[in-house]
Amino acid sequence: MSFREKSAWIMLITLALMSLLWAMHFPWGTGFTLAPDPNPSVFYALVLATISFVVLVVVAHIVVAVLAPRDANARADEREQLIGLRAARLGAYVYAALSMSSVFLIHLGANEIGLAYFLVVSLIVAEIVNCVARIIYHRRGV
Amino acid sequence: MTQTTISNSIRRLRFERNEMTQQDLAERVGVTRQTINAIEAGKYSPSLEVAFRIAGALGVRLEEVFSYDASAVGAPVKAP
Repeated sequence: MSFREKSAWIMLITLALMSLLWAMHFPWGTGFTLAPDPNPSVFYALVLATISFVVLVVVAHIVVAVLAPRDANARADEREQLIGLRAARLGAYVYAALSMSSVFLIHLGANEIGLAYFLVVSLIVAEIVNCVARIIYHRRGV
Repeated sequence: MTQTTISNSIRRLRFERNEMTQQDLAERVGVTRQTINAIEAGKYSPSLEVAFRIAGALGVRLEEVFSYDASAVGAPVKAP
């Protein structure tokens, strides 16, 4: 497994774990009407999850790089660059579609806080799609 | 699995050259071992530049390494 595939796995697993951590604090059942934010723990959990995500990703990459320094220091070749571009394109489509659909949420009664959190979720989903696509392209070919 | 219409003889040529490893070939060509593996398995068609570098590293002409099956994609083949 190449360093960049390992990196995609690290990002995917860490992102999924931290999203789960954040989701546990989300007031499910209240729809998109969170204003005035009755539960600041949603915001604090998001901050905690974001910091934890950055720390875990950096530490995991350092560990992987120490275990296989030659792979980690190698420049991305043309196949890896192509995989990165195609996966990023898929992620961008998902982010564009989700962020545009946030406009429709206004008509479903969403307020500004609900919309802000929806955009954060859109970013997370797009990044998960990006990571999954990178893994699939590495495994199945591009 | 994504398969290309370009087949290759890299694996055979490697073994004919003192069982050159994928890593050795990758280092000579300037790509990762995983990319050589993907090319050998027909999961990735390299650029023309990398294809020439592979042929050069194996010490053979390009057409001895790669062959293109035009009939597989229905492409017209012009007579020389």
